[in-house]
Amino acid sequence: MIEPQRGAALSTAVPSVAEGQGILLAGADAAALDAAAQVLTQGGYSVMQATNGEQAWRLARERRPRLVLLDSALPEPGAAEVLRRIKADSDLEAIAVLLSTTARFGDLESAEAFDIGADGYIVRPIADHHLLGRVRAQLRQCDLADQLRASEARFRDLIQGQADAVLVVDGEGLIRFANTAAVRLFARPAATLVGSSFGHPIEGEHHVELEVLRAGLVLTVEMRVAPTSWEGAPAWIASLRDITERKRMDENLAAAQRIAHLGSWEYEIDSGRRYWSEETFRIFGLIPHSDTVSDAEFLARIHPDDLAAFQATRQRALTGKASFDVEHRIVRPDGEERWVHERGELQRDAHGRPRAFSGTVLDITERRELAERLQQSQRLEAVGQLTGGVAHDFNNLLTVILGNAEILADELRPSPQQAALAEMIAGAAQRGAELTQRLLAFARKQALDPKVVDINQRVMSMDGLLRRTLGEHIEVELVRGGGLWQALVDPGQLESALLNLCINARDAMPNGGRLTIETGNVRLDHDYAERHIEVSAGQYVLVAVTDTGSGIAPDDLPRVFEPFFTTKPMGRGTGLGLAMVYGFVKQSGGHVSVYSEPGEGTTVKLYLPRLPSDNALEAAGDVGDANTVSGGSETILVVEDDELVRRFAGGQLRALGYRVVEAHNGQQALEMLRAHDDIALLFTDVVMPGGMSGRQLADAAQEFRPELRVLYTSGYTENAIVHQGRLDSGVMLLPKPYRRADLARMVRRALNAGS
Amino acid sequence: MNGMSQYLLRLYITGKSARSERAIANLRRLCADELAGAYEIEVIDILERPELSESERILATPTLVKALPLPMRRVIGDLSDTAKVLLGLELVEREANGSDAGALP
Repeated sequence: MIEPQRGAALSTAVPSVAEGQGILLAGADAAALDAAAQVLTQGGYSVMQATNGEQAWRLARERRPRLVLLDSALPEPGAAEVLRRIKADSDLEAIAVLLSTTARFGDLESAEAFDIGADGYIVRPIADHHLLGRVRAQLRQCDLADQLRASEARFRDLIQGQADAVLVVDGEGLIRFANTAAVRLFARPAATLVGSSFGHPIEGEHHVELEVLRAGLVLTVEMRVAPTSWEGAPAWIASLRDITERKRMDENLAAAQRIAHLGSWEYEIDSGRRYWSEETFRIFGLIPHSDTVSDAEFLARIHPDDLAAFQATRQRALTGKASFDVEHRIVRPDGEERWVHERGELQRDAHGRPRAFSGTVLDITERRELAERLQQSQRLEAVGQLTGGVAHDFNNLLTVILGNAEILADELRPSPQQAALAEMIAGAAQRGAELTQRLLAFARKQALDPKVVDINQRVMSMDGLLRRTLGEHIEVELVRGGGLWQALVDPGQLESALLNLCINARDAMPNGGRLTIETGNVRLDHDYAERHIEVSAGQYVLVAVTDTGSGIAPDDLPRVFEPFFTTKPMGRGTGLGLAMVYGFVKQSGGHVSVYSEPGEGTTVKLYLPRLPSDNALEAAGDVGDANTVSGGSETILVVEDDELVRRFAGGQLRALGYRVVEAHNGQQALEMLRAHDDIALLFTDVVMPGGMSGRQLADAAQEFRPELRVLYTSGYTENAIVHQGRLDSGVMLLPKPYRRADLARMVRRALNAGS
Repeated sequence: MNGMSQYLLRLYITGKSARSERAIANLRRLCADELAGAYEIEVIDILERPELSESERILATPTLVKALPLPMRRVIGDLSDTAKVLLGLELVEREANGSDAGALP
């Protein structure tokens, strides 16, 4: 029984009571406290005592008793105040407080005590064993409360420690709880978050992506939602993961794949499923529709001709015997064919069994096309060099044959039958010379004399010739572009090129048809230039020749510019027509393209360089009468390494009345120039053995003989004399092989040039 | 707002992303299918009007707010599931717990 025992000594705390262990007895009546303390001590509890409110509050705070037995009659301050202070202090939430009161005691209503937070009360007087029982029951409750608090703390630690932001959202869409990651994610304090409206969270099939705007940055967040209950009502737990970085990396990877035309894929061996990146879908001409594609769907896209080889390669790779590295064609849904390069690697599971096959697919269509064009262009160049070399030698031979045949024909005039034979030789040699001229044109080694040309006018002036060449069964249409720019080309060669194209068109239309010649201004852009070999972006004058003939087979198309390549019947074509056109246009700084549909017809487009607008080159005018042969008496130095040609040229010039000295190389020529101060004209071959070209010889000679006239001759002309296919200004050139009249005229012009 | 509009829905988005476009399309479809012309939609880009997102305490987008009729309700997340959105906005009666609705006969 706790009975107030007046006069009992004021007792302070029982020593050595561990924090959170003891029982604090607080009451005004020290004797009663002692009695109660004795009961509880005997019951095995550590006991502290306080006889006024201040002392009780101090002990409660400093010693943290497990249980406080608070007498309602406690003075300074009263029991209600002590109770209020204990319950208001969150550090002391584990302390249970029992109010000890008498039934008749009225200053503190028990109801009010419970309002303040008392955990229970006892009514005095109370039997000793009742007191002990009541205290034990209360302490058991304290243990349960402790366990609950510990469990909640563990749960809270788990949630707080989450890297994901966690919100508990109630049925009204209001936030009831936010962990530290949520505070970080939204950059708002927990106190602001809790109570604000988030909204009813709705998850998609798996999860949903949201944006969060934080300090001007847009974050991407992945939200997952689970139902829960909060304080007895249904609620949701929404966890939000910041995937901004992952998204950015995904987007970077997708962009890199898109830019490189490089897709990635994985092929799961057991399921046969394929996982494709977005770029892989695009390469196959499909809209990215799902993450997976069936293998059958994939195989259906492979070009039928490449399928067997592809599957064989893959089978070998799947057994781990070979690497997977294959180029094949695919057919897009719209029918477009593309070339792809696939590489793959076998992925094994933990047991070493093949699990999947992963790799890349690269769109190489453009690269292949470019490589094919490059190969074609290199082949043409190689053939060109060979052709150029052969044609050069032929020219020398033909010069001799032609020249001597003409002399013979002259000398045999009294005997007409023999003269006719000599003329036949001259005629054959002339035809041979024309063929070599075409070879040189193809080899881009002919001497071009570009002039400002009005293409429309040129085409118009050829109209009669073309109609005669083509015959009546072919309709000719000229479509002249308005405001046509002027072109800078060799007009004679342009006419030959157009004539060649028309002859090809005629041969492609044996049963008649229509030939269209169109002109127009075009600009080739950098994109076009990059995709074609030897094309510069810029402005061109276009001449397109289109027929409605048999067309060119796709397999033949890449070879049409090669010399001696012909699809015409044996004996009909030389295979040099398009080769000449190609060489001429390329040497002129232009571009040629051929489009053909078998059975429909062919278009050949010549892109001729536009005259730069400030160019004041003279318009093409006809040179003097080619038939006038006039000689002279000046001294001419003939420099030529080929003895036959030198003797021929010397003989011709002497016949024209000139005095001639001869040299077989540059060094010898220089010696002769020093020895003979009467030499008026240097007539020199351009390409000679002995380390000195005709150009170098002329330059050296003019150093000590500045008034010396120079006339070059050449089978073909290297850069020394023809700069980018054009004659250097002031340079005169007589192309081999030449007729006597040409020689006479050019020598006369060269000699007259200085006077 | 015309007299016909019974519902006022505000959709908060962030920028012109594909996700924003999807949310707008989903909302238009939902309104056309379920609200029979008696609605008005406001789309608010919080990048353009950050002050609105602040005053409305928009924490994340897409957030859809039913401003009228009261009570005001919001949903956040995937707007493709019409039934869930309608339920979240309280545009349909919630089924009582334990209801047999939807169970096979």
